[in-house]
Amino acid sequence: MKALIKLHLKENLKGRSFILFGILGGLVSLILLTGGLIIVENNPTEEAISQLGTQWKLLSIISGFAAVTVSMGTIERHLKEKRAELLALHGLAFDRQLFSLAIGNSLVSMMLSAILTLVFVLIIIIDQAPTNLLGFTAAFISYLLSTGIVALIVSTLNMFLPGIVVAVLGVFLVIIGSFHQVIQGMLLNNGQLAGRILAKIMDFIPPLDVFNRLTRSLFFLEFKDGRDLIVFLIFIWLTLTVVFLASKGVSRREKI
Amino acid sequence: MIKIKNLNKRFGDKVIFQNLNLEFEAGKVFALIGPNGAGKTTLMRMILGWEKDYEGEIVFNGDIRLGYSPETPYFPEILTGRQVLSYFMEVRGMKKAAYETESLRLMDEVGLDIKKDTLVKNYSKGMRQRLGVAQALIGNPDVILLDEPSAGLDFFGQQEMQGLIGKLKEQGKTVILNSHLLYDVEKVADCGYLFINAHTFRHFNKSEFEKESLADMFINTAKGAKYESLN
Repeated sequence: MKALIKLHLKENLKGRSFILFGILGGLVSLILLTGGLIIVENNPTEEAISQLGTQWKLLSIISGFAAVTVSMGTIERHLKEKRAELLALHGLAFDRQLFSLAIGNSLVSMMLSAILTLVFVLIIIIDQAPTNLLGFTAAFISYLLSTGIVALIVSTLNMFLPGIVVAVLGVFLVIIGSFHQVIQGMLLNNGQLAGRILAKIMDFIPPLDVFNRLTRSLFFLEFKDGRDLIVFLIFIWLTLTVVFLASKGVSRREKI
Repeated sequence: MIKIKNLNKRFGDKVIFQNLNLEFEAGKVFALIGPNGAGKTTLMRMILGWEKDYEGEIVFNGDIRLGYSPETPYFPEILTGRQVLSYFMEVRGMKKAAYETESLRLMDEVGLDIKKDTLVKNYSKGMRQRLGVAQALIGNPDVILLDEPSAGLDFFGQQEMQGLIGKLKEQGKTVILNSHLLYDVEKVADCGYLFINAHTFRHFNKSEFEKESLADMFINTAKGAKYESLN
């Protein structure tokens, strides 16, 4: 498994992507910093909190899209290029190949997400943001892991659906997931049966906004309520279980 | 070494094999020849265990290790030839020290030693095929299945591949070769099987195709099959 993950990272981590994501992240951070998008009257601390909080939100949405781009066609390609059979002959079972690719996609996405935050980190250091090393590290890990979850879900979808469909679904998943609670609240307030059903369906979409709230609370050293953390950990466990089971299922279907 | 007993295989309505019985003995070069769709690649896939939906038996005499080189081998373009072999060896769980020397040995074996550090994306078709054979030799297999190893190669490339197959035979390996290039087969094969359709196939050996060319044998057998089907 390790060899396949290593190769997958090598194939996907191209210098160009790093530069592109570094610039993209830098632009987002600088626009928010200098554009004065968030103005809180006469309260510089609250202004900083809003600004940095918005940065986390925007960066996690862009990271989500990056995860979709990275993961949308990898499993399909793996099957098409007949890499699977040769690897199976050399002893790597097909289900383990799929699981490795999903993990590999997750790692690549997390690395690109880390690059996105480079300028943001500089701003935090220069501006002396209201956090400490522990708070930042915890927030950074939760930010990376939520991107990893998106990559795992998109990889799983690609085991069953073509890349182009997965791309559309993935973008939809990131947008809906980033405003999960707001949308779910609106659907429930609607009061109609269709709204309630849709709200229930939304339970299966990762609540990226909850993960982001966790990231922000860890970053601003305001973490008190463990519920978001529990939801987050359960989602990681559930996603990994789904990837594992899907790999087994597809392996049976393909009879490799 | 490998016995195929009463094999029946169909794809939908099309019967590929009907009650097929054949045998591959150790240390020989076998050729599988026949028109497209006759089931040559399917038979290889059955031996490799990738095609499981069939009736009959494929019996291996003891614990036989298999190696396989596909018709168009996919190798990661970002790796050098030697790294490709190291990658497959790592997948097999070999230790780094072991695969570093073994990959060099295999590159040398297939005549790619001077190109060992060249990226695969810069390899010619013939070099890729030879790398495919080197990959098939990982783990010292007893039987090597080569699917169209000379397809798309120029004259010199075909000669190199013939030399390589001859070398494998000298080492006592059993080679099962699937090829459309009858001239190529005549050069390297000891014997083989000609598949026309599910009902018509025949065994041939070197002494036979030294008298009658494989091309003639192919045409005559195919004519017979056509005549048979018209009746």
